[in-house]
Amino acid sequence: MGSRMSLDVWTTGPKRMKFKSSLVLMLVGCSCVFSAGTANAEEQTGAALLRQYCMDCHDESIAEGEFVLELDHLDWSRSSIRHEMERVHQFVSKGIMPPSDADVPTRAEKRTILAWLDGQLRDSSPIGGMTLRRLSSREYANSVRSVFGLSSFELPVGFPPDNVLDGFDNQSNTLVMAASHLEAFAETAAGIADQMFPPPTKPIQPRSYQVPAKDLVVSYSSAMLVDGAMRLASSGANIRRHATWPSKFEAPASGVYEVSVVARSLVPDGLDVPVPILRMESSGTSAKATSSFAETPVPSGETTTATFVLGIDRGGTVQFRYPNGPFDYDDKEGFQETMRTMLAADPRLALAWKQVGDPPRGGSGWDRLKLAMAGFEDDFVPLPDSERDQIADQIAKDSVSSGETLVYKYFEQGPYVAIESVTIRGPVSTYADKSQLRSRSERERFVGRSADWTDADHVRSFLLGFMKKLYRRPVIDAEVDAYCQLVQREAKASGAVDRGLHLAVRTALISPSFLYREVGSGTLDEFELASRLSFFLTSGPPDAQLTRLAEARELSSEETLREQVQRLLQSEDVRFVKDFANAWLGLDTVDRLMPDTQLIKRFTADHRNGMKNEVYETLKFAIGANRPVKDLIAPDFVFTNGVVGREIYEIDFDAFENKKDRKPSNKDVRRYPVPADGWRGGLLTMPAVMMATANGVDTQPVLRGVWVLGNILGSPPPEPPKAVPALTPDTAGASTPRELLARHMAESSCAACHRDIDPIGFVLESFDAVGRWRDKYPKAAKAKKAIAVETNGQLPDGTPLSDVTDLKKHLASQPEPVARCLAEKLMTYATGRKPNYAERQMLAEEVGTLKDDGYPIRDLVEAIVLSELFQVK
Amino acid sequence: MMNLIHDGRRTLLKSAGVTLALPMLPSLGSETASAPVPDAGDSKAKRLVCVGSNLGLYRKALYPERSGRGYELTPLMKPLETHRADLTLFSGFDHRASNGHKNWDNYLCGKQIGSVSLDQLVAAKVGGGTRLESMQLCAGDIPQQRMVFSKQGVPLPMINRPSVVYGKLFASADDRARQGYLLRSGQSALDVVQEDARALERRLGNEDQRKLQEYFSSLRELETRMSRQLSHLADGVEEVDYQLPAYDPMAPTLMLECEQIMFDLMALALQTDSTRVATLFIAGLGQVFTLDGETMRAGYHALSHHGNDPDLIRDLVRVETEHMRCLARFLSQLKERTDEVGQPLLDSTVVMFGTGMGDASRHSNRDLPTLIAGGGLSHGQHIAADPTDDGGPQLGNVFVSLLQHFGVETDGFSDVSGRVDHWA
Repeated sequence: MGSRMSLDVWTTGPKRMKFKSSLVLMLVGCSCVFSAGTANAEEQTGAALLRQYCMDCHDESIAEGEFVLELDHLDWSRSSIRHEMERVHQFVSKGIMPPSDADVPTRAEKRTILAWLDGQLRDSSPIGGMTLRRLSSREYANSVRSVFGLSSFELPVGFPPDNVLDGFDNQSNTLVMAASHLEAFAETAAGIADQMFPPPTKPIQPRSYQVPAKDLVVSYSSAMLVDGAMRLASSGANIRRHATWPSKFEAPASGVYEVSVVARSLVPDGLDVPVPILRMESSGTSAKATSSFAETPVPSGETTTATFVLGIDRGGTVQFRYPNGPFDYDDKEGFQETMRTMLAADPRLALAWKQVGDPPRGGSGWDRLKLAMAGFEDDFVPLPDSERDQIADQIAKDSVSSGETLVYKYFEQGPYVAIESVTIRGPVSTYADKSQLRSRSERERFVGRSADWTDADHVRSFLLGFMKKLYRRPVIDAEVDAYCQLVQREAKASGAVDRGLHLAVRTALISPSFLYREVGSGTLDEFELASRLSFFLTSGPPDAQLTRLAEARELSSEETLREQVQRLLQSEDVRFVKDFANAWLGLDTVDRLMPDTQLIKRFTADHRNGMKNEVYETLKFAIGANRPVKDLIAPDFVFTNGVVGREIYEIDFDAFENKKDRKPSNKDVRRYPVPADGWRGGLLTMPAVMMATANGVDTQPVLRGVWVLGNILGSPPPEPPKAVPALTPDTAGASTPRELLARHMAESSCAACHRDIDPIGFVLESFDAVGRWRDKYPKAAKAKKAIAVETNGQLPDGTPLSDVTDLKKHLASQPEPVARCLAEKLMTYATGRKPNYAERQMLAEEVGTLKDDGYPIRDLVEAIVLSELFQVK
Repeated sequence: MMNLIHDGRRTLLKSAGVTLALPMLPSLGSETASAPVPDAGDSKAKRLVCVGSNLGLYRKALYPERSGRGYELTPLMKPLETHRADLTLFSGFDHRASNGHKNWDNYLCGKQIGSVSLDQLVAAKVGGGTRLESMQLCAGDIPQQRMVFSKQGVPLPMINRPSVVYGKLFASADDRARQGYLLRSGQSALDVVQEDARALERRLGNEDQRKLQEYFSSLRELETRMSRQLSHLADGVEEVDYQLPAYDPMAPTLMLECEQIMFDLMALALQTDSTRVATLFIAGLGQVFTLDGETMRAGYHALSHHGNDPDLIRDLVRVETEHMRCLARFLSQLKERTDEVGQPLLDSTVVMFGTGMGDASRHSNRDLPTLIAGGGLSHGQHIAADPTDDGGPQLGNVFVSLLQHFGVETDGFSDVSGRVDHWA
């Protein structure tokens, strides 16, 4: 029998792997049609049938589609062969191959082929088989935070990002180690060592910086240089738009600086505004004793000189603003009033704006308005009041753009404050800023407050403690010895033990014992189990409790594992749900896309966060309350915030009875009830998912259908043939996406997969590219009317779908594929590799035991951890 | 097509019974016993500089009407007038990639973002002997865009502080001492972790051992890089006559100043043979520039979204003219300075100025304007292609020509194959 043969190959093979005995497989795994006694005949028939139906096109001489079916010397022990044969299984079972215009097997023959392939695959697939797994950069950063207690550690800008496979950044096969990685690890390590054992620094000498007005920064329309002075006219809060600062000065050290400024101002005669104030403020100071800002009145017509001292953190600067200026286009509501008043006082401007149309942003827009105004005769006819107000309101609507233009009026006419020059002297004295203070306390916690490094035992125990944490396992004497020697040698050569310790930290941080985890093959030992569990549920190394359990050899008992899963899932830190959901559902796309402004006018960080937080909070809630998996599909709640709730879910918050519900926050998402049989709620229709599966502008039913099959139902269709062009929806013409896709159904080789894909894609067409419900596609420019969204269809099993609610109902009533898919994704994320054919069957059985309870989510996570799959390398 | 021409020439020579050492023609290769086999050392081009402009160049002010040698001078070509014989302007070339800011990244890596970029392919060929195999610079804020990808698909970080670049090239005595210390002690760190890795290796099966080879070879490469840096440190640092400003031009309004300094530093790096491959990203956001005493009437990014407004375009072209001036000054520097055999640096340095953005006003990545100068290539023309012609030449074909010119044996780049006709 095939399995026995392959077993021989395997046991003599390079890597000792665990096998499920074929006997167990027969009893538990296989409801297949054959028994052990007839296996040989089955093999004969299965292989013979494949030969009969496939070799006309897939023998070596023809190799249709560049695929050769090699049946004579099938070495099932090779993973590439198994992978290939799995595809054969998929193609035959879906009826993609043989093509319908060729000889096709009868249903009984097809069953025989599939049973043979299934048996072979189950028998020959090992349980386990992870290749050497490097820490992902995310895991690396979390490890540094945890081991060194550097809570705010971030990877340096430009740290090489990891390759991603099916959305997962932690897959052992794709996490390569290139020289650029090791170099980045080494450089980062030097930075960490610098924090723990800082090299001596030279004190910064005070000096004086002369800043002429021309060396002050102008960004957007924040300021304007006229006659050698820098004029400030607008008064909003946004620094980049309403402030100026020296372009050639950065505080060389955190310290106190003396800032002198020479300034004038202009308030046009007769204008009733308060005496202009010039405000100078530090871009950031953590010195409590020194002020962070100062203000001085600058009366119109005189030259004012003022000197103040400010605390400025290293790298910072001093910003100048005109805080009581009357022109503030950041204040949207006030701006409308400002505009009405301005145009009432200046009817020429109103007329000019009308004539020019919306002028270009910035100074050239103002030039154009001036030109128009210059053309008016003295006896020009002003606009009627109502029209003038209309124009004012229109200007106020796009406040940023018109503000950037109209501020030039103030630059020219006032009121403005003009800075003639600035002098900065310092640092007069220095202080430890927040980050220095934090570094100091982090250092003391890691190194000890008064460590005696002349004591060799102390050095040794320090190294031992830190290496154990870093390597996530006990450290043997020889390893510590090597590091002790390294420290001593360096200390001797340089005359400073600090330098030796600096080197030891740098070295351990690029050691393979740190950079690779759960190495080798076979069952995980207690420490590796702690590590895998911890990286799975916290994205970081084991904490003290897990380490203690591993040391006591107590972690691997089922009871303890269950307890630990619950404990880790309860922690406030939701790294697991975030990291897992980001990978599983591709949520980083939500951050990358800027949706079309036709779809949504102002798409803000609150929208993005609201969308993503809904996913995280839903998962967190479902885990916490151990909800059945159907609650991920058709729940009676959504989590949302104000902007997403109003603009995308179109929830009428005013209709809620509870006062708190009526006032949703735009920052935090909260749970709101929705009908379980409606379109809102559930992973399939969440705005984050709908957005991530579109491109910010339009939607493609095939992409979403494929996405759902692969990520929610766990049966990704095979790659389409290369010759097929992508479908670009052309809603402008007569053909709807649906009509275009009808071609798939006509072509049987396409239909094999599109039967599965299209009906799902169609019901999701009800959601636009930001996840808002729609009945019609946006009307194309030339089209007479908008095309209606058609959602009706039928699943391959005959279930009719009128819209997405039918699909949700169907999946909620038969949640098994969803539960299995989630389990596979969790396992892939946890073990760093995709489970193979036999492993997926095994996992399905384990998941199956939760069927009666409706596959509760937390139980599912526990089942993952308790699975044999989780516990082998 | 060029192959045919070369073959024809060879045939002609043979039939005349002459055995000549032909000048280096990459496509000839080793098939001719009589011709010298070109290797890396023979290639005329030894250095490469690629500059990428975030917001592109306004093509209507750059592209001449006429193609070929007799093209008329356009506003953006004006600053480059003195270098006309030493450069080629390509119009209508691109990678047939998608549109949008994100796809700027296609510039040096072709159709697939993350494929190894042109400069890194060249660095692998020519960069080995120098202290830094390649360097990546940026004028302005570090962008989201990525310009350089290693052969593993890793985007390489850019440096945007001139003082840091300068420090890397010509460190102060204090910095050198610290650097030397870190490198020397770092070498003993490598020894220790190599032992760690050997111990680990013994516990692994074959497949994992293979994967661990990645670690060992990274370790070796890192070691090589470190000892290269050490030996350069030991050589002492070349005295260069260059004064950095006392401040780092990091403020947004100083971006053009930063750009100029970065160009200067690249010239110094090439002159001192600290590196042979450098890239420079030119950023650009809301900053309002003051040029020749006159402040632009809107921020650079707002100008680039000109929507065909003539006033905005006028200012945009003024800013872009500054890029062209920087480039012209850089080319002049490379002509004045000489390489190890006393030839002008430009003769052996290919300088490319291009972008991943065809039309910033519409975020279109069709038709990426590209200028190529120096390197002993044949110049003086405007080569125009039709970006809507599916079978037409693409930027990838230009890159193939360049790669072959550097002695890289390849006939393809990204998803295109073959050199561009009638050039190089």
